[in-house]
Amino acid sequence: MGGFLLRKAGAALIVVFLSSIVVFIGIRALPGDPAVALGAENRDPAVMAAIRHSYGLDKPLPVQYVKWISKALRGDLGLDSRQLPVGHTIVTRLPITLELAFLAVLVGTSIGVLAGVIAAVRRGKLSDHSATATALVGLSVPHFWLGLMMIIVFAVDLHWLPASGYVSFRAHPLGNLEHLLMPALVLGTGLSAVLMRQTRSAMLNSLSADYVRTARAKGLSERMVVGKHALRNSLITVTTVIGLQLGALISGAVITEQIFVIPGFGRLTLDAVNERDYTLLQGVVLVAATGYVVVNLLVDVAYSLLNPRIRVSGASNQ
Amino acid sequence: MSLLDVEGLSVRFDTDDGPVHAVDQLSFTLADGEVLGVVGESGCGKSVSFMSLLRLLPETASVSGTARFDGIDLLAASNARLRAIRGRRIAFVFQEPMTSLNPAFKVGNQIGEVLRRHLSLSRADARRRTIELLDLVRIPSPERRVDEYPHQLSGGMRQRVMIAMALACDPKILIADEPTTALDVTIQAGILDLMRDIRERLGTAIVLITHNLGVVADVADRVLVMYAGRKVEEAPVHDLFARPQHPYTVGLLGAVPRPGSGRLQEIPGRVPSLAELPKACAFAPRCPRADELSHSQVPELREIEPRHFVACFHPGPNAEVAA
Repeated sequence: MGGFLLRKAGAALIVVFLSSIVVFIGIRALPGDPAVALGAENRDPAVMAAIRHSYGLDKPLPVQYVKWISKALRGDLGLDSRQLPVGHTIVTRLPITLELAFLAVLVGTSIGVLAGVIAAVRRGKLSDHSATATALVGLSVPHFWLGLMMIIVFAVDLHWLPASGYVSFRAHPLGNLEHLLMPALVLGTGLSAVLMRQTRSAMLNSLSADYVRTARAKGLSERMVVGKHALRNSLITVTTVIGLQLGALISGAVITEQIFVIPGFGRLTLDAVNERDYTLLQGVVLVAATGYVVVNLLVDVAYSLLNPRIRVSGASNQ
Repeated sequence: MSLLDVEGLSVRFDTDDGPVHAVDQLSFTLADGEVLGVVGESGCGKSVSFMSLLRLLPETASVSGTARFDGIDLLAASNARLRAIRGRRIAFVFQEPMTSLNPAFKVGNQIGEVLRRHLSLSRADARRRTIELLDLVRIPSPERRVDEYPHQLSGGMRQRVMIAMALACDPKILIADEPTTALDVTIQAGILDLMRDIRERLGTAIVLITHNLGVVADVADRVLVMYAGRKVEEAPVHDLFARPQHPYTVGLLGAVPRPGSGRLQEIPGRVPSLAELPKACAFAPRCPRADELSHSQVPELREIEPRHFVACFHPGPNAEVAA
């Protein structure tokens, strides 16, 4: 197990390193010039040059990269265009999005897996068909439309939930959940739809497996047969799907935060792009890439816990 | 009185291509502590018959008939009643030890859950008993194996785990469906040896489903031969081998390899499809003894000598089947 983890972590480090290069080059390849953005109305070439010089933008790209990455390794992501430390900005914004993503995964997983299991067990019956149809709708509906509809119904008409904004959990726990409930539902809908379909087919597979017949032949209750023997093997698929859906979750968070006016990481990303704020954008994308890799590493670990056969390939076993 | 008394068992599968009659009017009995061999080619309905007794078939199967066990009809029993019998009084060992164990759980967990379910043992007691069971089925260093996953065991060991699981609650009947088919020959002998040992030490009645007559000759007391969903012959094992009556049995015996007997004989033709029940002897198209009668009527089962039954219009031990 130790060796397995070490190899996975090593591979993850390499991915993070490579993505830092891609991030750096990619951002510089974007059209637009930060000096123009910073200089505002002033297009005097001397001012432009001074701005470029003060940010080190007049140096060759490799030099810029090494300077940036060596500071980043020490936790210093530089100053953004408002002279605020990028690292600090990210640290204040990231937890909001992490909470939103966590709630979305929680909502998406519980609804998706439960519906998938029920659909598989009651295959061909009404509950199967309605779950499958609902999932199709959930997959097809765009985030922004669903978000707006929910705001109209639950905030404007029914006054059950606030339409937008954010309060921190520490300041006001209930208010925090009230503000995040709709965004989490919107963000979790796509995930739950994908998970429902994948869980259903994985469960259909394992329900027809020989070991499920063995479990029945042992006299186990149907709850044990489905909930233990069949589900445990389907969870391998579910974990993989959650890992794969992470990219969709990140981009979904950008849109969802925009609709519900949540000052999270997604909004920060969008602002950084709009303002051509190189240091901020670099920091944001690097953190996002690292987060993606870390979560995938966690998925691998969860995977090996669920499937003992994977663990062995890493350990020395006779 | 017999331990298990099955009468008129029929199993039909409703498939997209219409119904398939897998088992037709099968009747047999099983005595306490008896080893019954059930023989036939793949698809003759031998596995399906026994799985239907514990309702282990997919939902597309419809089962009729009666199966008396301990005063109740298994085929009419409620699900709850049946669950209390499965694994506790009647246990199954399946053909594929590779896929019949759950890859995600330790073998100790999979054996232990039977003990916890039926005997309400505590976790610690179940573990202790599981190690005893692994020892009983002759798995070396059971204290270590109990914490291993199925993929860490060899095929033979996995089948021993399946047997240990089946024996966990000391069942009255052990149904072993091709328990040795997926295993190497040397390992097969060990498993069969273990079966004999179980019968002698625990007095468990065993149903041994196989297509291998050698296995039957080794272990069984009585043999039931099936063809195309019907019972064609039934006899004590020595009578069957000494004086087979049904041309199909004669053919099967001719196909068992023996040293110095030269070329193996085969039964010409193929097993018929079971989409339609023939109003004739199902073996007739492949049978050299078949005449007009065989092609127009279903032969009744007759007792040709004490405890020796055959469903054939022209029974006899001569080997002209393979001509």
